[in-house]
Amino acid sequence: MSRCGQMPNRRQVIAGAGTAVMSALLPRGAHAGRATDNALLPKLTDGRHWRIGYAETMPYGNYAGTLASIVKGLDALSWLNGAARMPYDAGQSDSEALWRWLSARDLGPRIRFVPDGWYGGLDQVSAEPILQRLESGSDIDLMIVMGTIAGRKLALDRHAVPTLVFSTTNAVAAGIVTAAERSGRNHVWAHVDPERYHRQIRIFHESFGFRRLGIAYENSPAGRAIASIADIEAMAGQLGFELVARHVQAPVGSDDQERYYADLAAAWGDLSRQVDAMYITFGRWSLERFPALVGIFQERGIPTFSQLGPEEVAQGALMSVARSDFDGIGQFGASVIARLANGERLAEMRQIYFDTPTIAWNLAVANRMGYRPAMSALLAADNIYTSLGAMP
Amino acid sequence: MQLKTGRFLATFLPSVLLIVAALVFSAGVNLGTFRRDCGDALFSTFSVAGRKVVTSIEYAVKYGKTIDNFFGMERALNQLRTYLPQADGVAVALPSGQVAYAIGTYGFKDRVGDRLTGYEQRRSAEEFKRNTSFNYHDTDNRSYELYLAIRDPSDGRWIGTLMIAASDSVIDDYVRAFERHTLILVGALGGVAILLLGGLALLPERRRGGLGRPRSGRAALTVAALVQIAVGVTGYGAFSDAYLRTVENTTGIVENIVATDIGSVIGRGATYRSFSGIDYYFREIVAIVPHFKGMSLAVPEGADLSGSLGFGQPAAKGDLVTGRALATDADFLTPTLRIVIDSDFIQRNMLEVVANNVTILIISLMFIYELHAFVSRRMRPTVETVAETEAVVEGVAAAAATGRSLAGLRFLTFMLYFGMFLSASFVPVIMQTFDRGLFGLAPPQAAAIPVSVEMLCGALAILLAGRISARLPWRTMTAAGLAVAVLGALISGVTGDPVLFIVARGLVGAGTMTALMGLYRLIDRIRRIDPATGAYSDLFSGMYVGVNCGAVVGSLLADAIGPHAVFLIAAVVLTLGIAQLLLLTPEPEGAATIAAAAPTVAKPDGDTAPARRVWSDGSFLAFLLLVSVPTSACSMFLIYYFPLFASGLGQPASTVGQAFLLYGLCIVYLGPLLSRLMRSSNVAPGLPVLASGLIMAAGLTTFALTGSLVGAFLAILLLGLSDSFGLTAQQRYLERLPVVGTHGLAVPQSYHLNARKIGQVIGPMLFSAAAVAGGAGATLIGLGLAAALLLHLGLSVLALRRRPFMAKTA
Repeated sequence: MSRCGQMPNRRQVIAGAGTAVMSALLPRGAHAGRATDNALLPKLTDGRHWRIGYAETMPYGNYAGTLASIVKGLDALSWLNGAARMPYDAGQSDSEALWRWLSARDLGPRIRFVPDGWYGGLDQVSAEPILQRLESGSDIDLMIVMGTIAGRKLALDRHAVPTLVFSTTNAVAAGIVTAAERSGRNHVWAHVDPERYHRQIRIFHESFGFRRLGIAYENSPAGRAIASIADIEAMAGQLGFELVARHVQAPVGSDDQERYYADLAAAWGDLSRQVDAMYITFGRWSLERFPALVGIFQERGIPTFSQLGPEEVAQGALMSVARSDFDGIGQFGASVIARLANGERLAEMRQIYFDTPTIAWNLAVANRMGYRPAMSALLAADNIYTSLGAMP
Repeated sequence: MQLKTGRFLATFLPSVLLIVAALVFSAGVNLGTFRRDCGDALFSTFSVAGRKVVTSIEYAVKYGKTIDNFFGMERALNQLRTYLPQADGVAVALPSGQVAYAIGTYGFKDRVGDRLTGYEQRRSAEEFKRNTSFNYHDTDNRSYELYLAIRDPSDGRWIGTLMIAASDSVIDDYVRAFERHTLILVGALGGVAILLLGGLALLPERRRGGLGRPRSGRAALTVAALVQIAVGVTGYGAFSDAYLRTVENTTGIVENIVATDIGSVIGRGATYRSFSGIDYYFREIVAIVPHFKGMSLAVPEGADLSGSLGFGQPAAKGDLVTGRALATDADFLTPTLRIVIDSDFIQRNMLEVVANNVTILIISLMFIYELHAFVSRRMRPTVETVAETEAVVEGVAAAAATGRSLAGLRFLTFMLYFGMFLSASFVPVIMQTFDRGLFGLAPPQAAAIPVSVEMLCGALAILLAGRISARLPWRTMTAAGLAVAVLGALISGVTGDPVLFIVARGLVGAGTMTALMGLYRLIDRIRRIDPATGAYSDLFSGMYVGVNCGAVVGSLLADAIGPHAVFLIAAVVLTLGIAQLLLLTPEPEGAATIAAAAPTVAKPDGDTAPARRVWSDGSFLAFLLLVSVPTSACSMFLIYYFPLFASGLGQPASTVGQAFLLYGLCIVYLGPLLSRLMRSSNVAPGLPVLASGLIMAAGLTTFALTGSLVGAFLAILLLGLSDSFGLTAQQRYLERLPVVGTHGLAVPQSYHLNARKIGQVIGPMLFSAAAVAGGAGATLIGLGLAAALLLHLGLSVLALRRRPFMAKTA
């Protein structure tokens, strides 16, 4: 996979002057991540600086990656400078260290990352202190929020601080925003990719033509939203397959994690005997434990599709179609912040952005299942893995 | 001595001019065609590699990638450029025209985010409704560009365009050797030919039955024809080499693509045992490359790869099989890619190359023959060699002048149609080049308008010219028509406005048809002096040679220098036509011959004050409805139906060109012969009209009964045979109708010409209906034509009984 071929081009797109026309003409929200227009550049006469806070559901690679890319996007748009030396490595899940680095440095007069403005673990802890701080309106001008749970907890009308929510599976279904195209709320905005899971299910179904698809999720509004159950059910009706569901309570704390793994293993074991294919929704497992959990499907020749992406394919899921990197969403997020800072209303900004998908296959899993993917499928694949990951 | 020198020069110089003109034309057409063939070969190679990449992109789109945000597109385009080192730039544009990805900078805008030109956008949108690709030579940017549609596999929607561009220099490199070789050959042959002709000119005049100098014109024609044949034969070698090189290149590129594809999968850890569907993968490639018969993986003995490892047919006797070792996988398995190249397909295409070369040769020969006919008839010996008495001298002088008029008529008709048809191949396409729309019309509608306006203005001009011909000398009418056409051609070449362009085409239509009517009036003059003259067949011969040469040269020139320049060249040709008209086309001389030989000119044009309108004459109306319209409608078999039929059989466009040529050859060479036979046999003019119509009906029935390409060619041969004397016979028949006696010839003739145009409109409708009815349809049209002609015969016989005056006519 050649990412170095991709980067210069994107930078060229981002930095290219005179491509405002393109921004206006590109369909959907894709253009926001690809173009630069004057509306995104800081106004020289505006001396205001923006104090930014951050909250996330839990430590997670997607969250740290998205945050780092937003910062890079702001740098590319000249809202800050010096982000190139940011301590971020691909796959890193620790966003707190990143925040510490950002808040400790002078990155220019326009943006400041509030030193004590980082909040983590909202899946475990209350958001009340953050809400009170936002209600006071004293020291945070903008909140970046990662994850469905954190988004649900913070995107409330108790405060008026602009709140941008990323990395949700379905912000509309989760009640964070009222519609996909525009948020419908004055101070809340969320990134939405409404087709992402439809696309995944359709591809999975085209590849294997299953009749009974297994899924496991927490049967709560948040759990259904995280797994994007509404989308999966819609596709089941559309493509004509049966959904076989098992419910697994999410862990309520670190002490509860083993119980969660046991319940999950039981649910997946049960499903592996009843379904033709398994759609592995977002879960609260660590990637280290994933190979052991998913092995049951490999043994029984059940194809698995990871809702998350290549990370889980590398660890033992058969295939996935997911975002390629965080550059696109980072640029899109940065453009939203830039427009907001330049006076545009959050409620009027587009939320839809289709991330560039990549296709991943694990041939070791396929081999263990006795399945041989088509040559054409492998040619279209961006990632091919040939080991079962950290299998015990 | 001076007399001898003068005679030598008078004999030698025209021959040299003929040779030079013939060689320039022949070399130009050969070089132009070779350049175009090289361009086609380049596009063919690009197309194979491009389609493979498009297939990969579409597969990824099926997997959820979106064309405007496609991870890995740069990688795919870089790979494509590696496959095609001749390509200077590859890019992907969205349907909106925005370039979303670009590698290389030639031929496209330099940066992602730039837009395709309005013409490229409109043409893509239009072409991709029906086709998967198109190409064109961008003469402004001096680049060859191929556009391939990228579609969403789920619904076939056009979602993007893959573009591949190469600069002209790539073709220049290909052509350079051929160009040098051809120019040396042409120069050498021309030198030898001129020396030979010089030697012949020095020989003493051949006496009756004795030895000596042959007729200089014929000698020059023979030498020029031999030179052209020599150029054609050597050209064939280069053309066939170019085709074989394309096959070789394409095969090599496909081998590279497959090796790279498989290498990319194997290189990422897969083994040949770990994937399936290689047969499906090969099937997609075989579908793209027409000369591939089959593809397969050959594995060493003992390697137990399961599933099908190939697609297509095994090699037959004579087929070529290529082999290429592929990547070695982790199991140390190294299969060989085997490609079976279909020798039958190659042979068929080589035959196609031969046919195309023969076509070029025939067109070149037609051109040189026109030059020869003009020059030799102008130089035909006159009084001094045969003079005996004063009366005879006067008669011979007049005949010579009339002969020169006829030569001028034929060559002028040739120039007129040559100039007119230079732009025939691209006038509809020009409408797409205007950025300004035309009253919101869809591109196909807008494309049809200039042609329709040209025809409409032509029809109106014919009517008007018919009305005013009595007051306007033929020369003035012809010159005025040519001048208007020149103006139209000039405006067509320089305007950037679609409305003005349409006006310009209207001027061309009106001007050319006015000029044609002027030439008809010249024929009237000649026929009054010499009723037995073959003026009509000369006119039709000049016309069809002009059409064929103009269409071929025009499309080659448009490829090379762009359509706008071709309009300007057309203006120059038409201007030369004016010069020829004024300087080299004398008035026919001699007294009008009366009565028996030219019965219909009893009352000259304008001498009558008709009491009734021209169409109220029953016999004339019957002639228009039962002869002019149906025969003209049936002639549309060639122009309308055959291209569709040939295309449906998968025949290349050159097949249609060959059919046109076959028809044209009949008109040009059989026409004068059969018309002369018709005149000398003194049969009533009605009979050739009937005979030609029945031959036409037989042709259509033959096609209907066979339903094959051979049957279609036979039908076209019969159509050509029919029209070769039928068109002249209709004119002669028209001249003898009573309506000419009352209204003069010009007005009825204009109605006849317009009736034929109406037939040309009705023809496509008839053949469309016939296509629905299958084979029986064409039979029905043929039978309908025969019935119309027989009915006309019946009506004529009836009229004869009522009006004994008509006896001579029928």
